[in-house]
Amino acid sequence: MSLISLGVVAVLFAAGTYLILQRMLSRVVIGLGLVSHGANLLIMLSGTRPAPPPVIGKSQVAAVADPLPQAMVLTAIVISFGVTAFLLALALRSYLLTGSDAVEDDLEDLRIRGIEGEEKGASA
Amino acid sequence: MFVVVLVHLLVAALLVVARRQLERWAFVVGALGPLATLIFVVANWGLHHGEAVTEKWDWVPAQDLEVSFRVDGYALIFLLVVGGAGLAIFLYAQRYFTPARGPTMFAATMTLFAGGMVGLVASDHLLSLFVFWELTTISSYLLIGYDDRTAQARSAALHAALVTGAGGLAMLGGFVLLAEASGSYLISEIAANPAENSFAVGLAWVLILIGAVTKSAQFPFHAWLPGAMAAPTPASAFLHSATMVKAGIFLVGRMGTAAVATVDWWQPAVVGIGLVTMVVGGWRALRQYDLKLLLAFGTVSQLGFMFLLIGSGIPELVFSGLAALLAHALFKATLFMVVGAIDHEAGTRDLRRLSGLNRSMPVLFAVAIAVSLSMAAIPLTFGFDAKEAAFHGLVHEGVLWVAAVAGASVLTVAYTARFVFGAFGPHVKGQEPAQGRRLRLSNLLLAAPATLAVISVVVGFFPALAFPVVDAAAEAVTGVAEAGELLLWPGLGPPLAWSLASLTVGSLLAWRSDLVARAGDAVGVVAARLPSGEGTFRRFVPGLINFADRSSGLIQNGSLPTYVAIILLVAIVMPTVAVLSNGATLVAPPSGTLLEWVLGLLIVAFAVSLAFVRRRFAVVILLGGVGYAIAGLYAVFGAPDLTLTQLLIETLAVALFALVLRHLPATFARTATARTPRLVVALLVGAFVFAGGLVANAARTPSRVAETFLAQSIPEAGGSNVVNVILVDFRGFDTLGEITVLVAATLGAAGLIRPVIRNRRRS
Repeated sequence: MSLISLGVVAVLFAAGTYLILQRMLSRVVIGLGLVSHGANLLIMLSGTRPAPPPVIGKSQVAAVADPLPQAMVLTAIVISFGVTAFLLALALRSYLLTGSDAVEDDLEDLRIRGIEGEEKGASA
Repeated sequence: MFVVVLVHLLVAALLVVARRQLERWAFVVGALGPLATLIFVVANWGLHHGEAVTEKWDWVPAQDLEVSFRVDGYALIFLLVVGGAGLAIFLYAQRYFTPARGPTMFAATMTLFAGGMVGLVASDHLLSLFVFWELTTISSYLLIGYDDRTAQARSAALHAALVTGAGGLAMLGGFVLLAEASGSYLISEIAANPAENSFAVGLAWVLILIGAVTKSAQFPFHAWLPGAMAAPTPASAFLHSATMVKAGIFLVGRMGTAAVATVDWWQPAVVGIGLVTMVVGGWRALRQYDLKLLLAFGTVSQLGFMFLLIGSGIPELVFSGLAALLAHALFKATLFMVVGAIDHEAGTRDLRRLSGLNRSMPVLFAVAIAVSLSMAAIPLTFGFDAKEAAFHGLVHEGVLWVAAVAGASVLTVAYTARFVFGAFGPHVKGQEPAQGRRLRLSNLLLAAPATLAVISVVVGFFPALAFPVVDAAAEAVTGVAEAGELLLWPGLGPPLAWSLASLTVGSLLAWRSDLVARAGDAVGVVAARLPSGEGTFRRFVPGLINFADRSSGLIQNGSLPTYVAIILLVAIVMPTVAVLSNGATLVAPPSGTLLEWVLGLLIVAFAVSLAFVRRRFAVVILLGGVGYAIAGLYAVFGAPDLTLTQLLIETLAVALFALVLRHLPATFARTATARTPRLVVALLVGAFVFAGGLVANAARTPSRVAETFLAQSIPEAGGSNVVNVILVDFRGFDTLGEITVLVAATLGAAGLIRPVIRNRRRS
C-alpha cells in the first residue's frame, strides 16, 4: 500500500467522521458513505501493490493480486449501497413528516439531566 | 437430598397455585418441607468418620457446572436445625396468623426459604451453593417486607437485601477466583487440597469472608438484622435467628480449615470480627426497650460468638461452636416465639409497658425461664454445656482469648436478665401498663415453644444426647474426632471459674441496671458522633443514586453527536494503547505511482470539499466524483470486477441521492453544533486510520487462503476469474446472504417512502 493511497483512506475517514458528527441526517448518510469508501479501500489495498488481476491464464499465478479481499470488498460495496439507500429513505421520511431531517436530542436522556438539575436546585 | 429440596419447591408452588383452597391450613402444608428435612436427618443419623451422602446432577456438563450435594456430619447438624426449628415455627405460625390476613403467600415464601437453606448447607459445588445462598437472600427480602404497606418494613427489607446481596456478589467473585486457583469447584476437593497462597487466592478469601460477614450480620454489617425485625415474628424466629443468619457461619466453618492453612490473617480476622460483634451486639441489647429488638441484638452478639468459634478452624473451638449453634437454635427460636405470643396477646412488646405476665401467662413464663437460663449459660443448661466447652478450648489458646470472650459473655447474662425481668417482672413506676386483652394463650401458640424448651432442658441435663451430632459435625470439617466434651458438670478448673466470673459480673450489671443506663447515656453521647451502621447505610443509598444520576447526566447528555464522538474516541484510544504497549514494526511504504497520485489527489479534493459544501446538488456531484475516482484506483490495483461494481453502484447511488435530495431544501440548514471539536475528532480519526494502516501494512503476511482459491478455481469450479468464482461458488452462500440483505433494505426503504409519497399526492 502506497503512501498516497493510505493518505486517501485517512482523508476519507476524517471527512466522513466530520460529516457524521452533526445533526442533519442527509449529511450523516453522506459521511457514512465516505467512511465506507475508506474502509473498502483499506481492506482492498492493505499490503498490496499494483498487480495484474487474478484471472487464471492471463498472467503468472504467483504475480496476480490477492482475490480474497477483492471478493470481500465487492460484497461490502453492494451492502453499503443498500444501507445508504435505506438511511436516505429514513432521512427523507423524517423530513417529510417533521419538516426537518435534523436529529433532535433524546428526550429520555434530557429527562435524566432534568432530574439531576432539580436535585441540585433542591439541595442548594 | 434432591427429593428434600424438591419437596420444598413443590410445596411452595402448591401453596401459590392453590392459595384460596389452602388458606386455612397454609402453614401445616408448608410444614411438609421441614418434615421432609427432618426425615432425611433421622434416616442418616449417625454419619461419622468422614462419611457422606452424595448426589450429583449434571447441569451444564460442558462447563463443569453441576448441582452436587454432599451431606456429611457438618451439613447434617445444620439440616437438623433447619428441619427442627422449621417444623416448630411452621406449626406456631399456623396459629399466629389469622386466616383473614391471607398468610398463604407468606407460608409459600417461608417454605421456599427452607428449601434454599437445605440446598445451601447440602451443596458441594460452589456455584450451586451460591444459587441457594441468593435464594435465601431473596426470600428473606420478601419476608421482611411482607407488611408492604409500611415504609419501615419496605426500607428494612431493602437494607437487608442490599447488604446481603452485595456480600453474596463479593462471595461469588471469591468463589470463582478460589475455584480457578484450586482447579475445582467442589468444596470437598478444595478443602482437601487448598490452593497455595497467591494474590488471587488471598483476594478470594477476603471476598468470601465479606460474604459470610454480611450474611451473618457481623460487625460492621450488623445493622440490617435489627431492622429485619419488621418481619412477622415467625420469619424472625426462623430466618433471622435460627437459620439464615447462620449461613455465614456455615461458610466460615466449611472453608475455615482450608483458609487457616492458606492465609495467616484469616484466624485473627475472624476472631476479631466475632469478638467485636459480640460486644457491640450485647451492649446494644442492653439498651433496647422493644423485646424483639433486644433479642435481635442478642442474636447479633451470639452470632459473633459462633462466628469466632467456628471460623477459627481450631478443632476444639469448632466443636464448642457447633454445640453453641444447637443451643442457640433451641433457646433463641423459642424466645422469639415467646415474644410473638406476648405481642399477639398483650398487644405490645415494649418492656416498659408489660407487667405481671408471670401471673397471667404462667406456662409461657416457665418456658421463657427455662430457655433464658440456657441463653445466660447458667449451670445445668445446654447453653452452659456449650459455653463450658468453649471456655475449655479458649483456655488452651491463651488467657487473653478466654478473658475477652468471658468479658463479652457478661453482657449476655445482663441482657438475658433484662429480657426476663422486663417481660415478666413487676411493673416499672411511671409507665402506663399495657391494656391487656384476654391474656389467655391458645395452646397451639404455646405448644411449639414449649416443645423446644423441653428439648433444650432435656439436652441440657443429658448432653450426651447431643454429643454424637456435634462431634460428627466437628470431625467433618476439622478431621479431628472427639475434640471436645459436653458435660453436665465439668468439674472444678479454670473454665468453670471463667463461667462463674462472667455470671457474677453479669448478674451485678443486671442488678444495678440504673448504672448501666447512666453509662449507656454517657457512651451514647460519644457514640452519636461516630458513624453508626444504620445511619451510614441510610446516607449511602441516596448518595449512590444521586451519584448515578449525576454521572449519567454528565455522560448521557442526549446529543447524538456527543455519543458518536465518545464511541470514536474510545475506539481510537484502546487499540492505540495496545499497539504502543506491545510495540510494532513500521516499514516505510513506497510513495506510489503517478496514476495513484492523480486519482488520490482527486479523491482528497472531492472528500474535503464534501465536508464543507452546503448546496445539496454540489454534494451529489462530489460524491459521484469520489466513487468514480475510487473505481479508477481499484483498476490500478488489479481489481477489474471491483471497478465495474463500483462504477455501477456509484451511478445508482448518484441517481438515488438526486431523487431524494430533490424533495429537500436546496442547501443544508446550519445547525448549532460546535465546529472545532468535530474537526478535532475527525482529524484524530484520520490520523488513527493512517497510523493503523501503516502498522497493519507492516504486519501483513501472504494469504494462504488465496493460494487455495487460485489453485482450485479451474479444477473445482471451472472458472478462470477467481474473484467471480469465490463469489458465486466457493462462498456462494455468503452472496446469497448479501442478496437477502439488499432485498430487506429495499423493502424497508420502499415501506418508509411510499405511504408518505402517496399521502402527498392525495392532498
